[in-house]
Amino acid sequence: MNKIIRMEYETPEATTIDILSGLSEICVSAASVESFIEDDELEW
Amino acid sequence: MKISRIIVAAAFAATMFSCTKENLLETQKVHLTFNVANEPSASKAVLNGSAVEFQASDRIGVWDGTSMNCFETTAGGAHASFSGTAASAATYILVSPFSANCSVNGSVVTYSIPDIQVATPGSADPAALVSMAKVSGTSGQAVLYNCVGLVKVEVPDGLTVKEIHVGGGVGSTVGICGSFTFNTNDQTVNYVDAGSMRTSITLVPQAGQSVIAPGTYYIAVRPWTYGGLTLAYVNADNQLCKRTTTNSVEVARNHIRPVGTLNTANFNAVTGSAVLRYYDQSDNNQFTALIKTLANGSTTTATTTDNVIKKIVFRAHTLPYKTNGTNIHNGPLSSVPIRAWVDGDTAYIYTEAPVITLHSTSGNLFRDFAALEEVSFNDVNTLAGASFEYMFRNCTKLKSVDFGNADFSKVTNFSYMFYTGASVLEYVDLGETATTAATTMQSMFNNNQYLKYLNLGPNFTLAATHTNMFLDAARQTSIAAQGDNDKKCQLYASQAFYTDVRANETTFNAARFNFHAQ
Repeated sequence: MNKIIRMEYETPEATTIDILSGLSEICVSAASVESFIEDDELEW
Repeated sequence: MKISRIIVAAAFAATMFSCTKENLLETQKVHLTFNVANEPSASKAVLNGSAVEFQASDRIGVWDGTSMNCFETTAGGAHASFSGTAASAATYILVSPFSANCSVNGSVVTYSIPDIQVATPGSADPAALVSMAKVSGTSGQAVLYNCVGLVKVEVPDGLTVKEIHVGGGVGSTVGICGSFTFNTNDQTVNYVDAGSMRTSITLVPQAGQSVIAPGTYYIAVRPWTYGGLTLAYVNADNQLCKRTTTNSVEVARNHIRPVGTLNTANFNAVTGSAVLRYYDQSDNNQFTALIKTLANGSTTTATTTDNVIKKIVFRAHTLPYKTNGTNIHNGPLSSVPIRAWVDGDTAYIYTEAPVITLHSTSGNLFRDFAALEEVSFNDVNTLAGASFEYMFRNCTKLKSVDFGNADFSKVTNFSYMFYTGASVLEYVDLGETATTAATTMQSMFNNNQYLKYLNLGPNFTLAATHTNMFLDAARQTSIAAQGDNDKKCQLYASQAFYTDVRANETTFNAARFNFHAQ
């Protein structure tokens, strides 16, 4: 059930912060979001 | 080094609220600080099964140690690319959605789980679906950890559900929403202040809808092991239908706890009456004095000027807002409590009964709340022969009164109801109530010179006595409008009332109003 969501930041060179160009890029190439885990139904 | 955005100061506001990719990618170096709390909510990250999916135009916040920066994706789905600019930093904290009301201190983020959430079929309210990550500025992987637990509710076909409520504990006595901290190092959640947590959450229909359609819904709650739980819904008769359990209920962070399907068999409707204590200036335990006492921390009389309360919210058919509310109902006439809380500058008056009933002696009910700006009800009616005379006396900062779907058909005396002294009142909504019992409306809107919106509804009829009912009403608004109908006071009423008042009440100046027939 662990469906992974990728967040691929648009970084041409991908992995470093390019200070010289004046463009700061978050150097995360991919990130996932936790998938919720469904527990048993509440017993009233 | 702060890398940034854009623009000159004059364009700042536009950028704040549009936050488009084009804006973000401009490269002029101007330092800007983003105030997250002021950003409009635009994130649409939703649940797909048990996974979170991003949608096109979703925005996340990127904290660079100094400011929260908006990153946006142009396309959602299984792969989402977020673009934006931020200062260079060794680590970043990502917050989704960007609109989450949060602040950052080191690795700890303070965020909110809202007490009002919007029903989103198959998902939770995107605004409540908060997740966060701490990421290195030099490495490439991050996990956005969910900061809430979810309660899963099924709405069946054939059942009218106007709202869904969930409360912590059997009597909604356990904090279930409010302000919390999330440690991005170890994913622990803690409350900011136990006393500030609210004990119930309301799931409301989407804008423009009156009911929650059949389907599966998720409510974001504080991750916690609750000593009991209350689940309720509001039915077609505005009754709160409740089901409780004393069993321990764990709703862990990043977990979903199904609580079953709403039904009529297991949920008991709250019936009975809830009558507000009547106005009596010698009784320090009635509404007017008691709210002032709660606001000021010491016994206060009804006629003492209060400078604290800015907003008063009345809500019927709803679970308690917090623990230990002060009982404010009229005992002999009420079978269901009305409880009151003062939180900062706002007073909350809640009851589980279908409607809040104002006593027949409700004149001066809000007198001498000098800071009061807004009063709102959802369901309210009155005892027979009610007087609203001088209801808002000396509320000189009052701007808005919304009676929701009021039933004032038993009110006999509306005289000087909105006469507030140095009036700045702009907005009055009387819903669709009939006024068939009214004998006097003398000076009802006298001196409400700044009225901009007046909804009397289709069933409002002129009382026999109406002297000076509209004396100077909307006068200043009309002067400022300079003949522009859109800037005049917008008046909503029946054609019959409009015809009647123009013919029979000399203080009604039709030129000051833009009339809309109902």
